[in-house]
Amino acid sequence: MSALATPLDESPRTERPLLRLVPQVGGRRINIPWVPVVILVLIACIAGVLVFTTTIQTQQAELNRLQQEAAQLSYQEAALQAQVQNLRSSRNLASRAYEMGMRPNPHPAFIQMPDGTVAGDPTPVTGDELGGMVPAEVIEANAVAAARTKAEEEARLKAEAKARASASTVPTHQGPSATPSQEATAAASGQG
Amino acid sequence: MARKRSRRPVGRIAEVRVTIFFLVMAFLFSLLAGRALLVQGIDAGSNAEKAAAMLRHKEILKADRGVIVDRNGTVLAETQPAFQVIADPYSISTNGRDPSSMTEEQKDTAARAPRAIAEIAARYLGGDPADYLNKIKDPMDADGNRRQYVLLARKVGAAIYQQMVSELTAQGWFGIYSAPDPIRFYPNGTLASNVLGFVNHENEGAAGLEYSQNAWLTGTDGSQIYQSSSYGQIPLGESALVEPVDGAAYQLTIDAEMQYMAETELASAVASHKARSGTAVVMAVNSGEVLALANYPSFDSNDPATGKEGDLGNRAVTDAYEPGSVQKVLTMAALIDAGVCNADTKVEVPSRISSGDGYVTDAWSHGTLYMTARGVLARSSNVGTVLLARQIDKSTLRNYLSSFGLGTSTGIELPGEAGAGMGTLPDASMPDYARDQISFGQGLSVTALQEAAAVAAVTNGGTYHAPKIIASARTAEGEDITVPRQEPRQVISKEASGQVVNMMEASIASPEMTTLDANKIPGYRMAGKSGTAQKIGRYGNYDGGYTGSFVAVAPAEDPKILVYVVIDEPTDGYYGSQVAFPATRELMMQALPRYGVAPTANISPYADPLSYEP
Repeated sequence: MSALATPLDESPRTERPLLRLVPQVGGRRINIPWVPVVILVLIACIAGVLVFTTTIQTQQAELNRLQQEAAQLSYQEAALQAQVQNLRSSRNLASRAYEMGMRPNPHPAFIQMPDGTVAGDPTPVTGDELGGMVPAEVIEANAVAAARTKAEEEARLKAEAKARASASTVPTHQGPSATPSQEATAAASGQG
Repeated sequence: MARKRSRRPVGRIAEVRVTIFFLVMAFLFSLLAGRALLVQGIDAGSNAEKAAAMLRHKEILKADRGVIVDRNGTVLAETQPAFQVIADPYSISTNGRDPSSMTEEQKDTAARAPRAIAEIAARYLGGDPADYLNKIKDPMDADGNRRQYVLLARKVGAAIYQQMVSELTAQGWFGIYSAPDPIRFYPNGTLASNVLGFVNHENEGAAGLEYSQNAWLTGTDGSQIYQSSSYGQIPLGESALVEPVDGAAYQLTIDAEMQYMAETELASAVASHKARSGTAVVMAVNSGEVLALANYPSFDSNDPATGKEGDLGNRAVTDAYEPGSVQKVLTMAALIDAGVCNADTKVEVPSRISSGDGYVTDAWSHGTLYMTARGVLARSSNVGTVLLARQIDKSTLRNYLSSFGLGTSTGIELPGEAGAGMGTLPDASMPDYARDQISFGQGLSVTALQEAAAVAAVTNGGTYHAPKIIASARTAEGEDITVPRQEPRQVISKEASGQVVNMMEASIASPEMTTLDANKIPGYRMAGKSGTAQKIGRYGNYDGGYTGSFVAVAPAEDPKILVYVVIDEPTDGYYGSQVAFPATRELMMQALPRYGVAPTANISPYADPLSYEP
């Protein structure tokens, strides 16, 4: 007979649960509430897009404002440029120079570089070398003044002739007509 | 265990009501679903299109008309930004607000708006506030439609418009808009107006270079498409830009300051000799470039309405006249080149010579004179010229004149040459008396430009260069535009050209001519020829007044500049040497140093003989 009381494979069977708790291996359990996290991420992204779009739109508005300002400044510049070109035009410069007493110099003198020889005869201007270069405005102004003076003269002479005619007893044909023409010639040559 | 209860009548009614309610709701929802399907699914495209169209705006970006500058870069014609001022009377009447939601205060303001806007408009745009008020005070028209577009002013300078808008905005008035309406601006006013021409209200060329080069000068408008709502432009909305392409830029051969001198001298000459009109041409003889082309009377290109209709064209190009004795230069050039004579050929000149039904005489009565051909030209003897011209046959003479450019258009880039502007040259079958006449400049007609180019060909060594006024032209993209030109052609030999210049110099410098020092230019040798032609009067006789002209080239040893002045119908004196020579001489005195021709210190006196001992 053996010492074993009962063979191993004949151990008494008790009722055991078929499932049992698996021992935990490793660290603690991560317990993330997924739904709130995802919602938060979503909100953050939407906010980011909002900020991004708003920034772009603000910059675009600023761009429009600056473009408008540039356009307005270009209009002012165009107006000033037009003024400058008008003032720089030959007509304007020539008539202003004429008014200041300058006259064109038709006596050319050239300085030949590098040795400095002078070609031509430098001559001071007397003012009447180029009679045809009087600016048109000056001619017109002179013509207007001359016409006015002439009209005043004629009116004066007419008045005198009338006074003389009514004063003399025998009005002669010669007298009133001869004297005014002589006076007119004298006056014209004096004025001229 | 659920107890089966019999349905009570009330419960039954309730059930029916609920069923009906649900049926109605289902029906309504199906309608809504159908509509949603229609809007979003079936008509999606057209609805989206309509919505976008309400937002989309298209703005035309006007292209600048091409700028025109002179040979040194001085701007002769350019575009200035300007606007049309447009009023929206309906908006003005509500001061820009929605009429259904205006407060009393806003209505008061809106009532004052038309008067205030009219007053501001008059202050900036000129005119009477009452006129503006009349235009903007009615928000509805006769048919009951809203008036939303009234044109108040055109071509308002951009800077002025901007100031007006800032005042309107500062005071809070709405309803004034603008559309681009650029102004073509000529900064030099009347300078070269006949050459440049002018544009009409739509900025299309109507005369001169503006007309002949209109296709190139006009640019291509661009457009900008953007989206905006009543709150303004939508910043990130649809935006498409087509850049405008500006017109081509032109550089002319004209020298603005020389042009000013020519115009001033011409005006003086016409005024002092009480003439009807005049033209002056300054040309570079070796290239045909026109340095100045003056007409008097002229006009201001900025305001062509103030000019007289006859003054708006370019007489130097369109008006043909009988050139008179200046033509003798061309006759002599033909004769010398053909070998018929040279400057020293002896000519026995009677007091008159029969020609056709009558006689050709000289401008002064004389007995038989013994002149060299040089003397015939210098003293301007018609009889002598006829005697010499009869030694060449008509077709040869005619060919020379045609080769000098007479009787055809010069091809200059200005309008108006076709027709009268080509002049008239009798053909080779002309009768003998016609040949006699054309040899001294009557019986044919030329324009000032033609004659100037012909004399330039005679004096520059014999090469005819077609006159040109456009130096270069470039498109906005930087490509050069080629201007079609005639090739230069040799008409007479260099020797013949030199002899003719020598003969021309005699009329100014020869001691045998009576007026001497007063005609010469100090420091330079000048050669020239006067012309005094009779004009045909009303009944076909030569009694219609005179054309006095003078052509000069300098320096005589190597001509570079040509000046030609033509005075039409002078009444205070009529000889070319009287009415045109002073202006020609003064222009030449200013032109020579201007273009760098150095003066010579010692000019030996003119020694070639004008007459001989028989």
